[in-house]
Amino acid sequence: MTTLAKTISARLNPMRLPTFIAVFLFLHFSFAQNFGVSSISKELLDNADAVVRLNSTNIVVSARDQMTVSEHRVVTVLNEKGDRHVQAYAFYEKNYKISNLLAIVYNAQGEEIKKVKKKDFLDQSAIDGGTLYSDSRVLLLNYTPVQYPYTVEFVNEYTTPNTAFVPNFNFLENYRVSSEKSDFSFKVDCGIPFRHKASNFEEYQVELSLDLNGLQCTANNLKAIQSEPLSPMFNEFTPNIKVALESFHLEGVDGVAKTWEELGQWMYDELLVGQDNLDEETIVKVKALVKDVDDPLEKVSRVYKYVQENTRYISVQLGIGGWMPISATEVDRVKYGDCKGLTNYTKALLSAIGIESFYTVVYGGNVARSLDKDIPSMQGNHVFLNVPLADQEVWLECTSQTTPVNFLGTFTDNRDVLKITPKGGQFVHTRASLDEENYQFTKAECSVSADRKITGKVTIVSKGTQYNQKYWRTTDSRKEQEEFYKNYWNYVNNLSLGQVNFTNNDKEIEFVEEIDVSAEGYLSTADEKFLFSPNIYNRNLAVPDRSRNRKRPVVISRGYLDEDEFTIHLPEGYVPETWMLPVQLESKYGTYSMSIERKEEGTLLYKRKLLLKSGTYPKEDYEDYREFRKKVARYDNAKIVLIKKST
Amino acid sequence: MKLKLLFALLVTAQMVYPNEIKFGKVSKEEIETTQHALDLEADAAILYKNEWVSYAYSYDGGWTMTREVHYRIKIYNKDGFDWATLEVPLYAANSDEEKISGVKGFTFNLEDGKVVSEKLKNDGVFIEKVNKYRNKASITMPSVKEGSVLDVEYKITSPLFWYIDEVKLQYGIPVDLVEVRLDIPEYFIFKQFSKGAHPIQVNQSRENRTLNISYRSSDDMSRLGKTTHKNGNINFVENIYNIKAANLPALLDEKYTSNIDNYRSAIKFELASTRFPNSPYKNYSLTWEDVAKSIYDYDDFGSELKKSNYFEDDVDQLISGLASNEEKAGVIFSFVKNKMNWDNYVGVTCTSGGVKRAYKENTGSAAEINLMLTAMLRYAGLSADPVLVSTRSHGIPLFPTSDGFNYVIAGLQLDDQLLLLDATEKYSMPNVLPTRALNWMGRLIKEDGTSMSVDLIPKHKSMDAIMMSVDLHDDGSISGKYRQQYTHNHAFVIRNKYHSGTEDSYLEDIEKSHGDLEVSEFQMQNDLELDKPMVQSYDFEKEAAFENISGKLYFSPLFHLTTFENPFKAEKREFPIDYGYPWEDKYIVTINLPEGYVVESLPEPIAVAMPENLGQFRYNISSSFGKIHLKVEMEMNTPVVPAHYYEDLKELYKHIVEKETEKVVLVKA
Repeated sequence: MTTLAKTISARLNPMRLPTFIAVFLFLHFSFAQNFGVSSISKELLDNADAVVRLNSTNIVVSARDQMTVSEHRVVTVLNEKGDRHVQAYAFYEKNYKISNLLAIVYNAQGEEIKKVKKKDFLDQSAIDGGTLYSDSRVLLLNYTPVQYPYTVEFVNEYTTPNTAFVPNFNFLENYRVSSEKSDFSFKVDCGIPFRHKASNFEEYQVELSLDLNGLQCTANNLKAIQSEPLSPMFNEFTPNIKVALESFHLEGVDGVAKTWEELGQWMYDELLVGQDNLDEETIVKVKALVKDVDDPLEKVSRVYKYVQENTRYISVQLGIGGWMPISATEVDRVKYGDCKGLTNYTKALLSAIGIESFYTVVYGGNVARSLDKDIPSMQGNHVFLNVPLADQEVWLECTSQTTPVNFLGTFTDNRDVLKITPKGGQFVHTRASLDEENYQFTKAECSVSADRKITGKVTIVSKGTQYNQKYWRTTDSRKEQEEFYKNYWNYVNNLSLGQVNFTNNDKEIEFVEEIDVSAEGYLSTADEKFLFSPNIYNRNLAVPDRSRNRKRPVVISRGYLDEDEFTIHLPEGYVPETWMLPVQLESKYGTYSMSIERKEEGTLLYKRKLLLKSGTYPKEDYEDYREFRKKVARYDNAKIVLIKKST
Repeated sequence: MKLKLLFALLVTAQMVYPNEIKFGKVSKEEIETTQHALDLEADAAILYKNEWVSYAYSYDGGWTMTREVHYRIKIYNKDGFDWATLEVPLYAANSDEEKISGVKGFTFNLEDGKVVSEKLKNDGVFIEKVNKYRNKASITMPSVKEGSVLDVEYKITSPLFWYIDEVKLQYGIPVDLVEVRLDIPEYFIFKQFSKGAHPIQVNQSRENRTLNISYRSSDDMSRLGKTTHKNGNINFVENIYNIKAANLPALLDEKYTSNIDNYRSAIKFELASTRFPNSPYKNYSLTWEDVAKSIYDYDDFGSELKKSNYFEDDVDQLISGLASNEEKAGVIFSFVKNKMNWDNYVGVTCTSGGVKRAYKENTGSAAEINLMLTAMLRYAGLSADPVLVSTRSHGIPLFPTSDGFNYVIAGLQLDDQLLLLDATEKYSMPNVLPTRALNWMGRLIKEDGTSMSVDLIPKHKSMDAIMMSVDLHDDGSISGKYRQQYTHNHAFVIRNKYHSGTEDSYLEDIEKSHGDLEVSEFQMQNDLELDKPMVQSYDFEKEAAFENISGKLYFSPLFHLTTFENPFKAEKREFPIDYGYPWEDKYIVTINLPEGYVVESLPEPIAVAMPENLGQFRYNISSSFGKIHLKVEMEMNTPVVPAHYYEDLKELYKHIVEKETEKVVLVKA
């Protein structure tokens, strides 16, 4: 229907471009003579599903609002799993101009078998699942491999007025992909200063040459890397380069980014100012909400609750709308918005009652990723709200209808984020919860009967990240509850769920589950005896996969603490034949203890405590850590033998 | 009797609705309600859906069809917010595009006890060009919160007047009332089919209609080429269908279901014939026979099948010197499988450019590949015919409809046997089809255009036979030799998996799937000799495989192959459990007792069967001369277990888990 995107007349300067590109194309096509698989060295084939023969990206900034990106890649795919590394696609938006798009497929001998021109690429909308509408599109090579190995040569060249995002370049692209030759060049033809950050260049012998107007880097023969469990992120240890311009253009707006402070200032002035007006009626309403309240935190809570109850998340990204929030008045009318819109709206409401808050940019996600401080540039994928009160910094996740006040969860915790203030950008590190704060306490009373059945009442209290995993479950249907517990206690067969009660205590940020549960056939039989596992309600059986010849450090990103107390009534007339001695494990990764006490006749008290510590450990520790987890799994699975009491 | 009556009363009580539901008129009660009356857990509900399908005619544009739709949706809680965004798919074939217009909407909320409404504006409506064939309209409503009632209406104008989309009556949330009206000019004769478990009421009547048509007529006599505008009336009769259904429960997916759409209550209108004044009666599809015939008559089906010059030389060479039909068929089938590569397109016609192009470029759609195969087999003098199939994701075609089939395979008559062939997959075999094609019945079309129905479900059981020998070690670990044999559809699945990556990654998957097994001396046999069972063997080691409790050794004799969990956990089940093909798992395990130990106790052998011999489990164990011998067999004799046998299946698995987890106890001699 209506398009909100601003149209921008791209001021193209075609005269200067062709000579520059012609040089590069010439270089590449001379290389193109040998796409046969036999010329790939053995070391590049090891552990690889695909070999990137050439990955060459050349960027020329000819004006603040004109950047031309030429990409030339050649990928040899060795097997079906390598198909996804061809990556012959071109994203584009309204004011992109794709001047060249071509793919050529070669067989194993390097002979051309198919040529695909721009008009034969599939043109599709590139909207991801969480977004209702955006103007991003993608041109996609639609090719069915007719044999393995095969090679795809792909050329993509486009011009965009948006210079805020200079493409990053990775010399190694993914696990199980080697890289024969990759080069990256960046050139500024219009005198704008730029910054760059090269990571992990030395380890992989990536060469970098730099001058005032640009840079160029090359790498050769990078071997494929195997993935490892509990590894640092791929980009943390592989070579890559980021480049950013000190002044740039974005969807019709000019920006500056010499420092983070300046970039933040620009964002404040150009993207936020004026978007936070509210009409009088709403201001009256929000003031009424906090009329009799003195405590600033309570005021914030009420406003946040108002936002949670009255809005929902809908993402629409058009033109500058991808970076500028829709106005607070708009959100107030339609009662929906994306993270920017809802954060800005909450900020406006708080401002109406005299509380200052700051729109904050972050990389949201379960892996704690910081904005890269070293290179001021448009970064992040999410925004949320920072409210500095006298005694504490309060954080609000405005896109969620359920997240409690000041709960970062695993989505925004423990990372560097950028606060956008009227005085410019400011870095803050969000709080990390301590391992012990990610706490779960399970208390249970359970009866075991001689017909091998167990019947119990369980109460589980969860906090911190363990709260994060469950607090949204209050609206679960019976079916979902059943699925959840039958999966959580999957080692208990024939589980039958009785009354279930969830309480989300969002003030204390704790979640309480009360569950009546029983299971037939819990005791296994051997001869006339029963085998009984006293850890009924919290077995931690996960052991990390074996990692032969470990290459990288071990990362345990989040720790936790579980405590358990089960009172167990044994079947009438049965006594333990064997006994379990208390266990106490100490390691640098955590501690584990377990004990069984005899209480009155026929009653046992099972106690367990598992603390897992977050941290980064040297690669040599991996096997040791596995040992620790194996032991935990073994003790959690341990059984005692019950026999009939001799009378 | 009494119970039934009460039930009937309840239902009728539910059926009482306000006389007329008008767009934009929402009662306070509708907003105040916090739970659905019949489904207390529903996140949202469709209180009312009205759809009106009608025809229009213009001199320039010909017939067009319009669908006017009104939804009234109630949001009960935050999980129901997704239902405040409607997505409307719009077909876009060449210049024939469906268009949406007249989008209107209101959100109703209670504020201080009063009903307030917020109007949907243009900024809540988006049209997206998804790809060449499809557009999509998204409508998102303003001011939605818990309790909101939404009224949305829109109109779709379609040049595809012969095609009426399936009218859905059931959704993932409860539907209180649906009313659909279709006004169809007498020129179009539609046949209606309904599906699903819930009653649908259909009334038919006839009404006269007059259409006023303005048209231009050029005056031939005038040299100026003047045109005049004229008006005329057409009188005709329309068939009016009124469809009504009430209180349809939410349709929720379950595990091991082939395609949930098969069970959705819906009604489909299928064009059977057209009868225009002054032109002959034209029959479309009425029976499966007709559907098959009309597909056969398409140029990009029948004509493509008749082409042969593009392959003749190659096939001549292939079959020269071969005497038997069996050999010829085998060679041709392998040739097509090896040469051709499926581009993942389904459909009954050669939409990727035709068989010749496909042959040249070695890639094609399912229709292209399998029509090519059929043509080659015929050319070699064999009796082969195309077979139309509906894939699993396409659903089971319950009634004859032109879009009931979406896939083509080949049927080869060899001696007395009909062999089904699908050359889209490298590792498929005669009568071993990819799972997508294992869906109920197919339709085989003979050269004269007549057709017959063909059962697609395999009769043979796919075997998974394991032989394992195990040694126990002092440190609690085990080691041993393992040999596993797969046949038929099992072999097909494993061959595909094995060949999709490197052997290393395949081994890693084996090791992980058995919880930290260590595998060596791996050997794969017959991975390319498709007519033989696929055999893999290896030596293994596994830590912590048994328990030593005060000097006695305890273990489940299947060790890491034990079924620890019942896959069927849900209390009840609505839809059948669909395995795709019958199967049998067989384990033969020999355990060597460690030095100095003897058996204290062994589990008791058992055999459990499901009713009508649908499935069976047998467990046999014995010991002699320092060894334990175990034989475990699990058979599923049917590809599909009906929902009313769910309890039995669950019970069978309960026995399996119980028996397989039972322990052998060894003591020091």
